[in-house]
Amino acid sequence: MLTIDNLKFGYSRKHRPVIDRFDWQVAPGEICGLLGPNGSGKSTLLYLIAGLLTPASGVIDYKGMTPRQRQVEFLNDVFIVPEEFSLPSVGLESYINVNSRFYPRFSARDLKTHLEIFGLTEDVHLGQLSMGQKKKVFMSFALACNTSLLLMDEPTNGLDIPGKRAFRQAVVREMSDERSIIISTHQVHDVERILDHVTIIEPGSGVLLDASMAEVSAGLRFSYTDSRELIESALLAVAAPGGANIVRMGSDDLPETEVNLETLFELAQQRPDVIASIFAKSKKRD
Amino acid sequence: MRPDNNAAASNFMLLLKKYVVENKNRILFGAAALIGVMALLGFLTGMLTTYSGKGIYIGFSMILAVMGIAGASQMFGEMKARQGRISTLMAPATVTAKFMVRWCVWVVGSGIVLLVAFEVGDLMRVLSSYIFKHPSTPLQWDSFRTSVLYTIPMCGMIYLAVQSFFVLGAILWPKLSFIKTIVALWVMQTVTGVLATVGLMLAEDSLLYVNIPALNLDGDWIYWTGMGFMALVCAVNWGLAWLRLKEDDVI
Repeated sequence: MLTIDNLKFGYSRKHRPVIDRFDWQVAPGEICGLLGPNGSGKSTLLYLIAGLLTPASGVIDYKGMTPRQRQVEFLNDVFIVPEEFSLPSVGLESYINVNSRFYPRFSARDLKTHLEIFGLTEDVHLGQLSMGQKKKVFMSFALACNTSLLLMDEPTNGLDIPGKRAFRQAVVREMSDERSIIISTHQVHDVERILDHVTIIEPGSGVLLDASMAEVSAGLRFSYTDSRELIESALLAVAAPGGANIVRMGSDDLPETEVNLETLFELAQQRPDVIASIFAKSKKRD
Repeated sequence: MRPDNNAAASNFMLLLKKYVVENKNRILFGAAALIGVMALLGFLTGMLTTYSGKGIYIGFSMILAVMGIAGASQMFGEMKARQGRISTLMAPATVTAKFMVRWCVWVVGSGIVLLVAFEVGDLMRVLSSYIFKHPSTPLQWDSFRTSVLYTIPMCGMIYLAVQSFFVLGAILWPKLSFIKTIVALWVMQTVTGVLATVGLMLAEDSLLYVNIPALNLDGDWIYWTGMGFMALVCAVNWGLAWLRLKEDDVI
């Protein structure tokens, strides 16, 4: 569905490119988590995929279309929820009326359901909502557009605790085999249970990890322990009150565990060699 | 692939509706402010004088032209911030549709509002003059009658040509567009003036200087050449603005 080949992009020729020699593929039917430290180019990558930036070189192919050309067919089929966005000061019904017609697969029923999940109704005025409420409305609309590709940058920032739960519920509800959702976030605990795939990048676009959650579950074991012996033998131990969150190599005698994305992120940052040796698809660029 | 004209027209109308609905407050407030200012100005003029000559209309026209040009500087106002740029660039429509929607509102639409504001201002002038000054002879209220008909198309074209620079400036510099465009025009005018002066001085001293006999051009020729030149300026500036929008990125 989405293929990126040898992508390069920089904001200034004087400075090092934010993204360099970046290859990536996103398959339909996946919720993909895009993780990386500040300045690693996550938002930039989303903008490039949305056609909002012009690559210095390389190819982005989405269903045979080049995003930067911003063809109507492309814009009909891709929706981006940026970290910060603006909504006009109009009633939600007016907003839906003038915007929904651009998206051929928009579903009013889906929108109503998502608004209900987020605890909102259609008779609100966008100018009178808090930032968190606006985000809920905008994400409800984005999901209801049923575009094949949905890009979300820090979608849970500014959401209250019930809102984060509702977000997960709405995203899972809207997933289908034809659709892909890419979520760029630092709030890993908000999304770790809904991801199908995880990609961890570093500044300069080295891909530290690009694997499905099933592969991560099979390759690594995550647990909390206060055993000194286990902590010392772990691939990585992250101090936690009374003990540590540890990662161990996956093996048949250890049952699979839930993936702890925060610990996985630390492992990818501190032990990229270990990650590269476990996950064949992962690659570390020079 | 052959473009689907019906789909394109439908898409344009949807985008126009979206733009007007989402910018309703800005558009209505701008139009109301324009008409309100002209009404007040007309009222004060009528209160202070019974003079009803062309000077009034020239003054009114100049004020309206400045307001219309300032309005055109807001053509891409929503693109000042990154959020607005994303919203504009990601709207599922062609670049041409996105440009034409704004052109329709800020060039055609504002032109109509300017004419209305002119008439309202003139009407208020005549009314307040009768109320406060009690003129013995009827006041003129014929701004668009035959006496000035000949100058209106040329004035309109000059207005559109000047405004087109501000349309281009609006997409080049969404922030402080009006001021930046004025500065850019001033710089362009100064550079052109200096170059022309230097060029003439050099030509006078050079062997290549040829004494061209004075051309006997009639009024119609000058008029239509001027109109054509203004139309060309408009087309170039609007074309460049379209191109800039096409090439625009989020940052």
